[in-house]
Amino acid sequence: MSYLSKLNKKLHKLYNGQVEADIEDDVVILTGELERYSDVVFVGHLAAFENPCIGVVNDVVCTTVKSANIRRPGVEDSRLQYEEPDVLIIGGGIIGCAIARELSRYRLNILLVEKEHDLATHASGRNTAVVHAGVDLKKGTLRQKYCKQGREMFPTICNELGVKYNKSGQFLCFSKLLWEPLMYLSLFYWKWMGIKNVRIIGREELHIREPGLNPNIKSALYFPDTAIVNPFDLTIAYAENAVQNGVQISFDTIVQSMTVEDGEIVSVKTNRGTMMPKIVINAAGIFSDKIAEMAEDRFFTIHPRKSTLLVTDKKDTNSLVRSVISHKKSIFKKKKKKSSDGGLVRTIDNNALVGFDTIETPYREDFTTHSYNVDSIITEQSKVVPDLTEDKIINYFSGIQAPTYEEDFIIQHGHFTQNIIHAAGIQSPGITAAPAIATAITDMVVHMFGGKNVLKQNEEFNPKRIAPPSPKSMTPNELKDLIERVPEYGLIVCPCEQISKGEILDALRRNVRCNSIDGIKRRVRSGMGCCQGGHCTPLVLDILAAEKRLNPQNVRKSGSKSEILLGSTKALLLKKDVSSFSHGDSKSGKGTERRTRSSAIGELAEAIKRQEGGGKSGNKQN
Amino acid sequence: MAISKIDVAVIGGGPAGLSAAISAAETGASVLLVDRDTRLGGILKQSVNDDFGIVRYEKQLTGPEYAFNDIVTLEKTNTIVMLRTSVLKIVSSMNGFRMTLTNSHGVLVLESRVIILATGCVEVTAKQAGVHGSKPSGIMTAGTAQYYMNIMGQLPMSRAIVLGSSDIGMAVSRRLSLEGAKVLGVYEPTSKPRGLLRNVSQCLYDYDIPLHFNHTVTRTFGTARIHSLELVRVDGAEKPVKGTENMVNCDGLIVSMGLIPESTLTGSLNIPLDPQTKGPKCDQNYMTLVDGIFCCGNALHIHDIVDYISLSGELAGKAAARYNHNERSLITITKGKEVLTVIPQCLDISTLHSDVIFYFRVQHERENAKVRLLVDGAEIYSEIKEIVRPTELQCITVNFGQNINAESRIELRLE
Repeated sequence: MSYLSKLNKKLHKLYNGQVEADIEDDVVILTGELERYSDVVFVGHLAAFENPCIGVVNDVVCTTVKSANIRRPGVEDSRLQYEEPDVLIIGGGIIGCAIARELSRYRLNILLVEKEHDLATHASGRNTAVVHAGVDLKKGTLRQKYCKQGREMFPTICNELGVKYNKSGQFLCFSKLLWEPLMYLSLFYWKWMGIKNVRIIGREELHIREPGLNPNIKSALYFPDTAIVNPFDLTIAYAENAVQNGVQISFDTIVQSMTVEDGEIVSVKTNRGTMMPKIVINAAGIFSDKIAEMAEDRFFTIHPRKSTLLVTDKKDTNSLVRSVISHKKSIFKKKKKKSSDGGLVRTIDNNALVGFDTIETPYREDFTTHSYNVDSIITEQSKVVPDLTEDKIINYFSGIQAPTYEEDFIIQHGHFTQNIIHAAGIQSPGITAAPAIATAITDMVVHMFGGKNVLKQNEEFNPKRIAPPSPKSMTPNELKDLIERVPEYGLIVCPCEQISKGEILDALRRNVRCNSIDGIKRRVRSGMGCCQGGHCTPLVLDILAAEKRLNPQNVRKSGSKSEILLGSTKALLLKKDVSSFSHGDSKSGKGTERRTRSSAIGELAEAIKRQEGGGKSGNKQN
Repeated sequence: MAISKIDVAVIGGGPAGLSAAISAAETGASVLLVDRDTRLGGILKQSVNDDFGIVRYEKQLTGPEYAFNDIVTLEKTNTIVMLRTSVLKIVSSMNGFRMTLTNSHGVLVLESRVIILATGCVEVTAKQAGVHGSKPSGIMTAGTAQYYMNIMGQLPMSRAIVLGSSDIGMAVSRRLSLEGAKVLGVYEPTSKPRGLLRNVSQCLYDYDIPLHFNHTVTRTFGTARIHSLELVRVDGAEKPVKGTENMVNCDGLIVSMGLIPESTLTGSLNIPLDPQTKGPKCDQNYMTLVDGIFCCGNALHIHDIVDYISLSGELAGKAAARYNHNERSLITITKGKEVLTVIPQCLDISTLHSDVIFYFRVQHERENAKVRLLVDGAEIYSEIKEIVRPTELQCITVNFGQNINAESRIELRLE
């Protein structure tokens, strides 16, 4: 029986004709309607299993899910009208920025567009920040291939870009003792997978190196090659080095449609004008299938997978995790769970990331968190690290990976459209793989422009990014010199993270635009400490307003319409457009204030009782 | 700069630091006062409400007025004040501590015999309060909102929900109302106001701001700016009750769920903390368990009113100036029934010459509570308090006389 009839038979049996599969141009297309979103994902995976075609497009509609609108930038202009870049990169995540930087080695006119107000706002900035050893990957997949290549490139890349990188190692623990003998057998497997230096670590050494671990854990597999990096830093550093070498970046720019003629993209319409690029690179992350569809090159579907991670206070990290701890219930991969079973990561900035709670979601940009995420992560992970308690958590966030139903990267030319290259389906280990993916895509582009002999090198290419000064890693004398040159480096704005005004000003003046409170936070960590910006946000806001010559009320937290302040208090009072003043004017308010000052405690208690009883009391004084 | 060695370094120029510096200087020590801001006064600068000074001056002063009194006194001493200066690092050295300071003039390393931490506190954040959902703008702590309004003259929201009824949240609710914004309500997860009753009356009741108990905010909505949030009733254990969710439109959420002693420096110095107060453990001189490091004000434990903060600074400053590296003989105070926290947590017998002021918080509200202090089972102090509430810091002054030695067992209990 052929693949298609087998698949349709299965679908019919399971969903009673609600879903149907068809093959068009060697692509499996699933259509129909299903009630549960988990079923929609399930049929996608079912179709991808032993699929002889090039990909699965899942058009099955989930009837219980209201489709959410894509977040759009707040601008509309013609800044990019009639631009003719040699290469148009769509997406300012780690993949897009790495590609931009690698391509800038050649004499090309490169434009990177990003729909958000800043880089790394989606998956690139919302992950575990681990440079993976490749523990969970299947041999023969692109994920495994690029992970291995990328990992080896990391030390050089981070050195060139001036990004902190630390080979901290990873301990893989198993919750069931049963697996211990099997660990020895698995050593051969890891070696076969090309993961070097892996070894088994006994109880004593394990607990010296990870004192926070549950004493019941008797041994672990140790992967010394696992490393950590700051993913914001890396993405922004890639972009800054790219811009240094001639790449242009346009923020708040969303691709709306494309014109394709004879299998070639002729023009790309954005909210900032229509462009005529020679080559389009699809690094659009969670929307990469939508971009492929616009390019008439549809052969995959992204199914968003959301994970929540917790961040702990720096001062508690030592009692929890010193490197990377992951744990699994079993050595063997379970079919259903695509991600590993979670763990703790000590980040390069010494917080602990604890995770994760992973779900499939129909919403591509739903970065909300829920209290049950936090509860379930703490319940699960405190079994491994008993000291993990809720009061150590200072922040939590969600990230959304962009896997295809084939659960592998797509790093290739278009199937139906010639001048598009996809760097899509990026999920874990996307950060690790990024340098290798960028090199591979660059080779494809070079080939399309006629090869290395035809395409000219960018002679001014400088692989070294001018990294921002890092006062925290300086000796007192170095810091003294720096402050002598730029006094603002001596003024601490964020005491929790010891971030100076100088660092904030530097972030605002670098070659990649930064114009929001969150943008500064991503670059210098102001507001990432235990008070979460309670102290420094107004100060950062002031610095940003002065530097960018904005009124304070025009300073944004993130993208458009995220202003923090409404305007000067007195001006608003005059305009009377704040609220209806229904609760009495300020004069009478002051009057009662004075009167009740002398009230005895008994009267106050009565006042509260009245509050409790009546909610909004009608018994107005005066 | 000429200084390289001093007796007492006070970190933080708020009410606690000001008092500490004044009293240390008046006791005869050479004192350095370091503050990160451009002016002294700490949070008092932004507290324009006139709720300060009733105990200390028997007058109602605004925050800036209250701070001004201390600043004037400080100027009469020979304290060296360094503004816009931050402490990067403190390590112990031969005769005390070596501090690395930074400001726009450079880096300064200096030796200090003792250190007084008067670094104040931080506010419980929205995340610590369990507010989930998206992370739009318009969510802030009460202190931050107060800074926007009173220091920057900017209005941060026009339709506000306040989560938590601590004092600063209530003061900010009143302030928002006066500035023309509408405070839709103050929602308190417990069944009692978190702050002082005085403030419930003067800040909420007088401005027709409803106060709802047993409610919390679970989620916020809006991607750029908050446009609504979910309110939910909570049970006795502060867990949300299903089916009581209620969506409210607003453009701002103020979190006022309490204060936590600032711990960036205490953490880096490995000073043992009290898990209840979240501040350092200390003796009656407000010396922490690390010899030579004192702590006062809200950096030590959260006070209800500023007058007591000044008092703690005064005590710490005097003791710090007199400190001569003698070995301490510490005994721990046992917290008896119903006592949640007690300051100081220990007594140093070797310097126990005068009355000791104990500050404590109770676990439950009680009427006619008998406070007893026992030394080896014998009562040396008792007092009947008409009413005690967990939200109100209790205070007793005890004279130990000759009743105490290094082996004594001291218990503070409520009956």
